[in-house]
Amino acid sequence: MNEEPIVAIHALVKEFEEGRLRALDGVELEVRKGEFVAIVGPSGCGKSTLLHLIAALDRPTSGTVTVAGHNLVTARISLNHFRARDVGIVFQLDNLLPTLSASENIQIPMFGQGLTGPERHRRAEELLALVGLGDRVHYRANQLSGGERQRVAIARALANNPAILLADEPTGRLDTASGKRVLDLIASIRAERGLTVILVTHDPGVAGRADRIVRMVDGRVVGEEFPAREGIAAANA
Amino acid sequence: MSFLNLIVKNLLRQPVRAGLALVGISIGITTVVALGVITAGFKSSVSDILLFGDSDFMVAQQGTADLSFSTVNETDWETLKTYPGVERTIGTMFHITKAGSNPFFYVLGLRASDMVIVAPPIKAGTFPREGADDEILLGDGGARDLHVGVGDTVEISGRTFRVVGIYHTGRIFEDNGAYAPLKATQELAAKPGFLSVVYVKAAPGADAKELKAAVNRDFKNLVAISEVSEFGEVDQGIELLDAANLAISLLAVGIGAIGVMNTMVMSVFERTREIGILRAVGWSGARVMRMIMTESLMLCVVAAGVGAGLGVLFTRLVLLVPAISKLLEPQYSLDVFVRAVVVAVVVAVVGAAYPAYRAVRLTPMAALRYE
Repeated sequence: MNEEPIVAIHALVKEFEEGRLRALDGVELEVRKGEFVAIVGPSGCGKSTLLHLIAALDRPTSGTVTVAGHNLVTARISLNHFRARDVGIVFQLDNLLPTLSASENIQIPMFGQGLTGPERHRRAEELLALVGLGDRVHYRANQLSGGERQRVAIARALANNPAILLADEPTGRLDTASGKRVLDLIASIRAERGLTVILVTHDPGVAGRADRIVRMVDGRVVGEEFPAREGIAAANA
Repeated sequence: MSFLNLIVKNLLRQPVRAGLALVGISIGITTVVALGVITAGFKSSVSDILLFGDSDFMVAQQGTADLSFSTVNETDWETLKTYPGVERTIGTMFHITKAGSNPFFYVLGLRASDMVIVAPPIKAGTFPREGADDEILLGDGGARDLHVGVGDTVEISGRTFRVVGIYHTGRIFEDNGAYAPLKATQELAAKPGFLSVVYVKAAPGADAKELKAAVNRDFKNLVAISEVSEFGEVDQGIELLDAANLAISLLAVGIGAIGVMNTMVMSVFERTREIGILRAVGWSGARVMRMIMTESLMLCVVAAGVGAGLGVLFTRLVLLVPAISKLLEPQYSLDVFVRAVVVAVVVAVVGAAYPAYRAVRLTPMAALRYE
């Protein structure tokens, strides 16, 4: 695994309601390229807020967030360009546009990326095949099952070949079997493409599939675990 | 999927709402086109009246509400004839009366010698003779309406005339009216010794503008005009029509604009979360704004097409009314349709401005949190 940190967070603070609510309170975190990190913690601990700041969906109150070499706080780059090309995000709700087909939903992030219509369409078909939905190209979002919709959302997140996949409780609304399929898919894509994955969850079973589990409480990182290493250590004991 | 494809899908999400907005703005555009076509028709008629008989300008009484009320003394006509640089003058009396089914039967009273100069193209018969005050030239539309031909007699305002010729000029108010001897027309209008207007043609080499200025300087109660824009000096009809056109159009377009704004505001509010998703996957605020503006523009441009078509249809329906068809010749000028498209674009931009501004102002997270 490459040791280069692709995400570097320092002294990160995020406040809401004019400072009355501090969601992140000096978070320090580094994620290596190709690493699969699960962020866990109780509801309201700030894990989703942290993920949104990594995705440049919001601005921190203070501290620094550097992702794929871009300092998102000083933001000398276009954050739109960053969101389109450097990261892909999957939400708990699939957040697909209901009137568009699976293929069209995947094409949405490709607008403004210099691709022609046929190129966008071909790429969307390839991504649908990648997530096992090659036969659902023309299905509208509301014609797909919950698990299928989340797989389309993953395909959409990969539309512009990002280096990092961010997932906010991607299995939170799925049944066990569908959730497992989604996690298997993320794991296989990560292995195939060398993606860095940062996943927010409060499900220990989901977190257990990560290389590293980062535990948060009250807006702070309070510890980390390495399930694979510990699993090997436990097996060796 | 192209950007336009996405726009169409967005509009078709709420087809009833989009349809109602389209109907609203179409009605506005219909009004703009129909009134524009009718007003342009009236202005074209005015232009024909102004430069009648290949004249350089027309002299009429200043400040009359309607040109048919204008009164010019025959002695002033005689004075005008003596002006240096005048090649010819044609004294004309307008008399509007009901004849047959036409409530606006236009009688142009001229001396027989001037009728030959003005020379409406004769289809049958000949011009009235000098001094024959009971001879009349009928427009072909008027003759058809009155069911008369050359040699027949016709009664106009209680006076009997013998039809000696039928003409066709292509100008609707003339073709549905008549050329009558000046003296007889003055008697019909109960204005003996008076004219409605005098048409003046400058001699070759003379400066028509200087001549016009001299007339305006020398006659305090008269005015010389040669442009449609000056017509308000002698007839407030066009100005009133323009004002009514503007007021009704603004009202209709305003109502349409509110409909478009309502549609776009509802549409954008409902899609706030989706706009958050678009921003989250890398769409710039400018692209989101372009999407909303293009939706509004597409709606309004389609409405402009529908409205223009309905406007033309409405005008044609109006012309089925005999009284109007004998008075008005609609002018389907490019200007009217360009105005309709400009109005549609302005309505689209105004209607979408606030919702687009709101959509762009939201951060991706604020939009995603929106319930």
